[in-house]
Amino acid sequence: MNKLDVRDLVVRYGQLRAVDGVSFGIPPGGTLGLVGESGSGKSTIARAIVQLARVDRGQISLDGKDITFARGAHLNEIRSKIQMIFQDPYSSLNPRLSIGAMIDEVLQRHRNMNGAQRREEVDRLLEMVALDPLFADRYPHQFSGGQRQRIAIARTLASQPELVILDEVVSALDVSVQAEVLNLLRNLQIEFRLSYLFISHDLTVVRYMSDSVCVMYLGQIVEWKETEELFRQPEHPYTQGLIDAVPKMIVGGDPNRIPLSGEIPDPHFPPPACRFHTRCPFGPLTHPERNLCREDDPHLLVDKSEHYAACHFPLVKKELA
Amino acid sequence: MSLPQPLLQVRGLTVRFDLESGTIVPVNDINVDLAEGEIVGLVGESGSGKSLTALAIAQLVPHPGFLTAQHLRLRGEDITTMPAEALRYFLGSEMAMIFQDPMSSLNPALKIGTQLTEATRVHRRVSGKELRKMALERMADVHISAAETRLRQYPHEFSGGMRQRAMIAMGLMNSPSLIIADEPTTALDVTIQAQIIDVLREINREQGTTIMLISHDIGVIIEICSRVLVMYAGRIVEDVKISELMTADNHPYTEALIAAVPAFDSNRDEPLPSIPGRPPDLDNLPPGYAFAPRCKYVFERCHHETPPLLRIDETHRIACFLRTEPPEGATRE
Ligand SMILES: Nc1ncnc2c1ncn2[C@@H]1O[C@H](COP(=O)(O)OP(=O)(O)O)[C@@H](O)[C@H]1O
Ligand SMILES: Nc1ncnc2c1ncn2[C@@H]1O[C@H](COP(=O)(O)OP(=O)(O)O)[C@@H](O)[C@H]1O
Ligand code: SF4
Ligand SMILES: [Mg+2]
Ligand SMILES: [Mg+2]
Repeated sequence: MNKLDVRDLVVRYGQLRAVDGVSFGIPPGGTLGLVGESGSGKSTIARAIVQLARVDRGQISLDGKDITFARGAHLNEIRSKIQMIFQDPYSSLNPRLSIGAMIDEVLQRHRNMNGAQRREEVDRLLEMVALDPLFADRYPHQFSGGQRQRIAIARTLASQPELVILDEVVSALDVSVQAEVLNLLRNLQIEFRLSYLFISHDLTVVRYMSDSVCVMYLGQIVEWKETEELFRQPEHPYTQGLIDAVPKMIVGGDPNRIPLSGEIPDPHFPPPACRFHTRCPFGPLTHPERNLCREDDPHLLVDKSEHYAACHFPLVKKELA
Repeated sequence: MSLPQPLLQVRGLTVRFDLESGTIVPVNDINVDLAEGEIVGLVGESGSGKSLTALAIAQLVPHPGFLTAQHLRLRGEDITTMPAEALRYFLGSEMAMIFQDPMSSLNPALKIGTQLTEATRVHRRVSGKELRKMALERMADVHISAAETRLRQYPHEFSGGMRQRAMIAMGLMNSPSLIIADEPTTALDVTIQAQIIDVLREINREQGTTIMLISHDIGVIIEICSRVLVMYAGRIVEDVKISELMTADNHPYTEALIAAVPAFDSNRDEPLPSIPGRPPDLDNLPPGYAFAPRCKYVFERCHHETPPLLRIDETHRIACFLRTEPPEGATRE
């Protein structure tokens, strides 16, 4: 059974369908990566899972139990099992509390411990994220960005979560610090058998962290694959375009890359049928006979309970033909 | 063999701040030449002094920063000794700066077209009709379509990527010989970043513009630059041709910066190589070489002395004792 299941999720902001029919699952101890240009709906999915955004349609389940509209005691229980960490830990860390007090607060709320036990646990948690327990009396502004992200992780672990949603957690960090935080997250995952929903606009980071990856475009998942397969043989032209856009450490750039033209269209008026057809280098822009892309929604043709690419002319098959 | 005169020649460029806590030197004795038509990268972790170096070259060091230099020559003219009015005119026509956040340089209350043409009007006497034509051409250079309409719009009607294109177009209005772009793609999606990189590459190729591209992302620099300057705690620690990166013995810091990027073909089961520690506080520098506490090849001498940036061959300068004065029996294992 999956740790988390999301089925046909729809989240709207007024007329805007920010998440439009999204389905995926995360096995226990596994990491699902969520990638796509900004505005594609990644954070909205995260917010819907923790009930910070109102679910319009669809179902979210934890360990097979529907939690979409959980309330009261059930909601409290879920709040300790599902934790979320954001890009800027500074905005989510209370500047007036020492980091020790901050972690203690979580322990009081979610764990049945006396004062002495809690003090010991704070030290243990700080050590776990490679921070000196002597730092417990210091305040968030006394730490660097990477250290603040460690503090956020320690506080998260305090509630003994089972699923952690990581939304652009390394996006503001220098590469060297980023590497340390990613290594830490992977070690903690193994130690506590955590499940991760790992959200990032950075494909290299998503590839490193994830077992399988969902690629989002304008509120929809256009491709969902096991990680190695996705990067070796992307089927959806948008996935290919994203991969091509990443600098490859090749002097002078990758000569074979097919650049994506244009920008994400206004999400209030998504293009009909395949939403990507206005930018797709393999669609009607370059192949006028491919009218299907403008007329039929490829999302209606795929089984979203397993890995898929929502495209009428997937790249791999095209090569074989 | 006589080398052509470099477009930009920087000697002894230093920026100091006298703060309550003491004097810090975020830009420390920078010496570098930029040849005409080069694209040179400047890379380093945040706080290493990249932006201040760029601002210093443009004579825009923020108060209470204090710039000193032996000289700073652009097209052979020393801009540190130019009278203010002449300097403004000279830099306005020879140099363009592009920043990470174009909104900080665009006026939200003025139409894009007005901002483009005013960028020129200050420096040249040209007719309105000719100005319009130039603006349209510059918009084409940066691949903004429907330029007629776009020129009549305000910055808030542009997406982030479009604003950055508009900034570049504005910078091009005076056909500068040098563009300094400070993290121009850092706030953009990779797809848009790739487009902006292509625009810069094209401008360099077609108009011969020299570009200094500042980025914390060494991948971006490898993609477009022919040469890279690596900065650490205010100093250039390596100056090397991109084609020699990853093949020559690089500075241990450069090597670590490259290794820390999760590559597409990296083994996902291995931990990512990281650089232990973090950059030093400028008001509390370690004795000796600022990089020594983080260097995995460190040896005794590095804790006492800072290695100078020395040329080891025609296209490679490095500040590392291991390469310039290797001690007996030292290896990089
Ligand atoms: N609180 C909100 N109110 C209205 N629109 C929103 C809100 N939050 C996000 N959006 C819009 O929803 C879409 C998806 O946003 P988001 O989930 O933040 O995307 P991502 O995380 O992939 O960048 C965007 O078009 C964004 O502008
Ligand atoms: N106005 C200022 N006053 C005092 N210190 C400054 C100022 N601007 C920059 N610095 C210091 O100079 C150093 C280099 O800054 P900067 O050039 O912005 O680095 P980078 O662009 O490489 O991130 C930083 O450590 C910063 O603290
Ligand atoms: S359905 Fe057509 S337009 Fe859409 S991604 Fe596939 S080829 Fe491109
Ligand atoms: Mg987001
Ligand atoms: Mg900077």
